[in-house]
This record gives sequence, C-alpha cells and structure tokens, in this order.
Amino acid sequence: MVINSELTSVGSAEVEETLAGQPVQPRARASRSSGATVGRSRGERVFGVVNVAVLLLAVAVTLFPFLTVIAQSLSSEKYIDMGAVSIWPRGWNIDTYKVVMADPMFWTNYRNTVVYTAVATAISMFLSTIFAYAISKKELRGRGFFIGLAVFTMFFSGGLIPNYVLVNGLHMTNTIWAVVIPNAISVFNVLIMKSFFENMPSELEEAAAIDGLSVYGTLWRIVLPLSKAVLATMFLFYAVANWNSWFQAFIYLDRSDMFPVTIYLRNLIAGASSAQTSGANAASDLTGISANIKAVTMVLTVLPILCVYPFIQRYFVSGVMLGSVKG
Amino acid sequence: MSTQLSRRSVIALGLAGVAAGVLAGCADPADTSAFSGKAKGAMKELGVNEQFTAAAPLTFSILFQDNPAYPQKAGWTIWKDITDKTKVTLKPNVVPYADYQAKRSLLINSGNAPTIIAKTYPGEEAQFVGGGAILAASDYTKYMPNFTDKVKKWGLDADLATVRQADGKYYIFPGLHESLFLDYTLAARTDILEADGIDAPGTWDEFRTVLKKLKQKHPEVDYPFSDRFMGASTLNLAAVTYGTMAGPNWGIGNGLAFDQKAKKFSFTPASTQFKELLQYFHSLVDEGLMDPESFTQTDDQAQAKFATGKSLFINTNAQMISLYRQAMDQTLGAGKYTVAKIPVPSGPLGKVVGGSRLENGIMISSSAAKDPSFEALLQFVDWMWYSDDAQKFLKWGEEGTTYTEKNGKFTLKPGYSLKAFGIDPAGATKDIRLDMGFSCGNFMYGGTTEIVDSTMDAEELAWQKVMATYKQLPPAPGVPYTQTQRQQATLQQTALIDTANTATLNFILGKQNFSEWNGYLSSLKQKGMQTYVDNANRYYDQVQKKLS
Repeated sequence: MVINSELTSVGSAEVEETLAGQPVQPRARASRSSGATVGRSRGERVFGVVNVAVLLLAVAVTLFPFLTVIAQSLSSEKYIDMGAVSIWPRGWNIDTYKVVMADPMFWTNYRNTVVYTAVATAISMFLSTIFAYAISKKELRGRGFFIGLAVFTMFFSGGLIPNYVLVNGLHMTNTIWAVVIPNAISVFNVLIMKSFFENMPSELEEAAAIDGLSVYGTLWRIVLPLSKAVLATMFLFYAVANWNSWFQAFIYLDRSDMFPVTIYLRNLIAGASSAQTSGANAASDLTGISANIKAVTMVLTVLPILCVYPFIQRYFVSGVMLGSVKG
Repeated sequence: MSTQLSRRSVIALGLAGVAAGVLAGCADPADTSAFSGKAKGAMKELGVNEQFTAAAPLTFSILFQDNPAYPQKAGWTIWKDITDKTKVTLKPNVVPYADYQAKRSLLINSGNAPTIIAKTYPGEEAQFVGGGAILAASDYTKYMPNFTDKVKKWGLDADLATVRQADGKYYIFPGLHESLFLDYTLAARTDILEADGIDAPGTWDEFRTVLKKLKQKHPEVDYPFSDRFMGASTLNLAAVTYGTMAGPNWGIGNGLAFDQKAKKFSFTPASTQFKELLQYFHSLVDEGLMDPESFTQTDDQAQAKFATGKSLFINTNAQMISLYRQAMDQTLGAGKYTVAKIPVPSGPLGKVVGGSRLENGIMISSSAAKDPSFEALLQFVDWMWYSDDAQKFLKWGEEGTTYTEKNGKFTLKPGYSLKAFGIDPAGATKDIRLDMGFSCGNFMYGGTTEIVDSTMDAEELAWQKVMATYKQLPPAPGVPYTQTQRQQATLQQTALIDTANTATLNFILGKQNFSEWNGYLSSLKQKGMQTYVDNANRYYDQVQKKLS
C-alpha cells in the first residue's frame, strides 16, 4: 500500500509534481480529502510503474491460454492444423458447437449438471456450516474428538470398492443421492469455516444470548449475516467442484440420461483421441471429430461458472478486508 | 491323553478331507446333468448356424460400452430386434467409453457385474481370474456348437493358447476371426510419388531410399516421414518383419518372443534382431529422413504436418485415412493431392505379418452358472457372438429390410446409410448404426472373412488382398501365470520394458551410441531379465505337461 507522504518532512518547501507533471503546493498534512497522490517520491513512482507493468504481464500470461482456447473453439480446422490460431479465431467456424449442441443428450446432461450442482451445493453448504459452527464453539464437549474424526477422513478413506459396496447397499446407486451425498462435506472447507467462526468476537453472541436468542437464532440472525464472505467463498468452492465432478456420477450411475455433462464431454474427447491411448486395440470406428472438439468442450463447461462469478466477486473483495481487521 | 485325542481327530479330519476331494474329483463336468435345474428357456437341440429362440422369455443384463461415435439412444431398434428374434431381452448397463476399464473393474470386484460383460479384449480378463468373479469359458465351450465349429474350422488353437491361464483354462469368450485382420500401415502421398516417378517401397530398405529421393527433390519438406502414435505403430510393423517385438504400449507387449520350434521364450529386446531394427530407424533419423519428434509429438501435431504437406508419410489405418483426406481437402484443396495406404514393407524375414486372430469378446459373471437359465445363456451367447447369421444381423440389420446380400456382396436398401464405413447414398434417412444400433463395437467384430470384408470399400479390399499374400506368423502363447506369479512378473516386466523403451528412443535418436549396446544388455540383466525369462519358460512347460 502506498503510504501517503504525510510522513515526509513537515514544512518542506519542495514542490512535488503530480503524475500529470503540474507542480502543486504542498498541502496541509491533516487533509486527505480528495485522495490524490500527493508528494510521491521518484522511487515510489518508478516502483508504481514497474509494479503495474509486472501485474499487466501476469494478467497477459494468465489470460493468453484462456483466449487461445476460446479462439480455437471458433476457428476452422485448417488454421488449427497449421497452428496459426493464437488469440483471435481464424476461419470462423461454429460447426462443432452446432454438432455438440444439436444432440439432445447434451442438453439432458447439462440439465443434470445444473440440478446436481444446485442440490449438492445446497446440501454441502448446510452440512458444512452447521458442522463448522458446532466445532468452533470451545465449550463443546468432545470437540477434539470431532475435529480429529474429520481430519482423519482427510487422510484415510475406505477405498473405491468399499465405497461402492456401501452406496450400493444403501440403494443409492442410480439416484441423485449417490452423487450429492458421499462427498457432501469437504473437511478442508469445514476447517476454514471453523477458523472464521472462532475469530468472530464472542461478545456478539453473548449480547444475542442476553437478548434471548437461541443457538439456532444466533446462528441464523447474527453469525451467518456477518459471514457472508466465507460463505460466498465456500459456495464458490463447492459449486465449482460439483460442476466439474464426474467421477462420482461415473461410478454410481448406469444410465446415460442421468450423467452430468462432464461425462458426456469427457466421452466425446476420449472417443476422438482413442487411437492415441489404446494403441493397437483401438476401436477404429471413429467418425470425423473436429480438431477443436477439446476447445469447444472446455468453453461449454466453463461458460456458466464465468457468468455467475462476477456476481459473487464483491463478497470476496469485502471478505478479504473483513478478515484482516481484528476487534 | 488330550494330545492323543487331538492327533486322532486331526487324522480323521484329514481323511475326511481327502475323501471329499476324491469324491469331488469324481464329478464329471462333461455330462449335461450339469444343467439340471438350469435349463429354463433353453432349446432342446441347437446346432451350428441354427437360429436360437428361447423356450421362455428371458432377460440378461449386459455391460455395454457407450462409444461417442455412435452413442446409445433410446430410439435404437436393435434391442427390440434381438428380442423379436430370440425372445431374450438384453438389459444394457451403459458405461461411457472413457474409463470403461475402470468401471468394469469396479463392478466386477464389488460383485455387481452384469451377466454378460461385453467389449473385453483378450488379456484384459487375466486380472479377474484370481478373484473367481468370471466364468472359466473353456469349461463350457463344449456346449457351444458354433464356437467349437469355428475353432476347429479355422484352426484357432494356437490363438486360444494366447489366453490360457495357469490352470490351463481360458476365461474369456473371444471374438474369432477367420483370417488375421490387418489394419495399420503407412499412408503415402501417392501424387508426389507419381510426379517424381518413384515407386512405393516394398521393403524397409527401399523405404529409406524413397525417403532420400524425396528429401532431395523437395527441400521445402522438413522431414519426408513424420510419424504419429509416438512411432509405436510403425516400430511394431517393422519389428514383426525383423523377427522381434517393439513399440511402447503397442507391439512390445511383455517382450517375450516365442521360438515355435524349441518351444522356448526369450526376451526379444535383448536380441540382435532388435538391435538391427533400432539401427534401421537410427539411420532414418540420422540421415534426416524421419522427424525425430515422431517419438514425442502428439497425434494432432503429426496429422497437422501431414495434412499441410510438411511430411509425406505417416502411419494410418483404414478409418484414419479418411480423416486425413477430410483435413487435406481443407488445407490443400480437394483434387490437389492423393493419399493411399501402401502394403506393409517387408524386412529380413520377408513378407510376414503377425498377430492373433482373437478379437474383443465377452466375459460371463461366474454367478451366472447358478442361474436357472444358464444353459439358455450359453446357447444365446453361442448364437449371438459366434453364428454367421447373428453376425450378419448385428452388422447389417434385417435381411430384406435394411440390406440385401448377393454373392457375398452386401448392399443397403434405399433409405439406409452406414456413414461410418463410407456408405451414404443420397436420400438416406436412417443410418443403421447411429439410428438403429447395428454395426456397433459391442457385438460385431470378428467372423468370417466375408463378413469382416463386407464393410470395406474397394480401395481397402484391394489392400487387404495384397496383405493376404503375406505369410502369417503364429502368435506367441501367453505365459500362464498364477495370481502371485503374475504380480512378481509384472514388477520385473515393468522395469525391463521401461528400460527397453527408453533404450529404443535413445538409440534411435542417437543419444546413445550402438557401441554402448553391451551396457544396455547388462542393465537388462541387472533388472532380472534372466529370472523373468526362466520363470516364463518354467510356467509354460508346467502347464503344457498338465494339459498333455
């Protein structure tokens, strides 16, 4: 953070230049009214310029592959084969999009993804929040045991086959519950929420208790509204993880009309590149799949998340600040 | 006193155990009373190429691989057609093509596998043998007339030997080919060869000469030969003609070549033939004729180079060559090029091809043996996967409705297409594969030469005819490991094959000199090559003794 030059010597007659190059009179030190950068030294300005340059470079490096993928998804095969596509599409081609989106199974699976993500995220948020709140209370008896139990599951799990046998035994295979319940609680997220709740001033809850709120009331009316930042973060983590997940659906579901779109797209890419992976046993019954199928599938999968993210972003910004101020 | 008592009871138990064992051994698996109580829906007598119709409606579950090239749809008529013909309803458990093996493993190991497990390649069943989850196919093939008839007619015993396990049985019902199905070879820019007056190469040495001439005449081409599949397919093609095995994840397999006369295995990546093979490819790379990136680039990159005219030879199969043509119509322009499959070049062993005539097939869950309709299941499987009529039906549909056959030539009726094999007449409204489910990979591979050839176009048939003149080398038998033996062998095999694959790359690209060949051999010896080979020979001999 640039510290304002109140700290430079008081009463200096030096005329400081603004970025616009116009000399200004040294201002009264107490006023920080307009927020204009006053009196930055040369070193600070150089740092400012280099800083911006480096950050712009980082943005460019991060953005470039993203733009390339979008460009490739809209380019024609000829230019992709020649390797001539960088950030602008060449040879405008939306045929692959048309082919993928013309398949009714694609839309069925897309709807499944939306439903699974919504339900899974709702269940995960609910369970994680109440779990994290409960174990954040220092007066809970057996708190250490519950935390230990949770952390234990981070390192050890039953394994693929026992999990399958369990889910099958509970008659959850081929239902939505096999997809949304087994991975509902991410212990990592719970621990983050727990620390956040622990850092909340206990005076708030004591005041609420004096006013007659029950535990649930405190949680719902005092704690959660103040936790918007962490809730938004957790929501995004869960939503993205559920949106991208395919393995749970793959092992527990047997009907193609119940698959999420990630399996559909994964299957499409695997079919297009089967010869590479299965060697001499490749089923050589491929129809012509376009060169840009990977790019198209990437764009189609990421698009909704991109649309939702800007609306949640403000919570992250305010959330960062909230967490850094104590007391 | 107590010790005497316990010794007596131990002896008594032991005798009882022996008696039970003897009695069990007395049971004769060959008599058909094995089907008593399990003959629900079975036909009384079923002969070769006779239509199977269940005596009562039956349902079997089948693990079905959903290939994105022909996704399984609700509108597929094939399921109903099968039911109409045989009174058997197949209930498909649909698994996506990607990660099919993972899901199959999971279902079998958790005990939830369907009755019929389709799309199993020979060798893939080995991992499930120890767990007892799949049926020992060889115990029941005697009840399958179509299967036994084909094995006898086509002399497939040597091919079946490639899948026999330590107990001498095989656990897969493989697809059977009458003749070896060859697909992979080199594709060449025949228009350029013609323009330059160069003949297509007949041997690998001629291939090198052709590449040299092309390099001289076309300085704008970086490397006349830039390969895909990381060079593995071409290495495999050449290795067979040199009398060895090569090609990472492709032809090198377990590295054990089998001397048919001496009936002995040897580790072929340590042989002089392997060295000669590597020396040949090294000469191609050294003289700038083969792109060194062939061994590391992705298929897309290799295909791009070929499609844009930056290279003139690439590895291919029948389906890929039409993909190349589609791409080249865009990049070079239709009519401005010709590309064709050339016959596989021959090597020191002459015109030879190798491989097994087994194809992907099915496994059956061992729980099916207790099912009351077990006999009907065997009859159904025998008809569906091994009778000529069923194979024609599964490939082409209903005779008279979707296709007609005359003198071995299959023609689709008007209104139907089979775009995957290039049959797309004008006015076709239904694709028998995409819309109806025929010609799909879970049922239709293998069969008589006539059936296999029926979907090939004239160009492919001509190539197959030339390749049919090549001598077919018998396949090496599989090593009949038990579960524990296989685990130990896999550890050694991984280390040895990795060393061989790394050495292949290093020697070809010139990172290692051939003067260091002995160093490579000693590194193989250090990794337990001798034990690996000796074990393989010992297990093979043991099982051979047991079978004879």
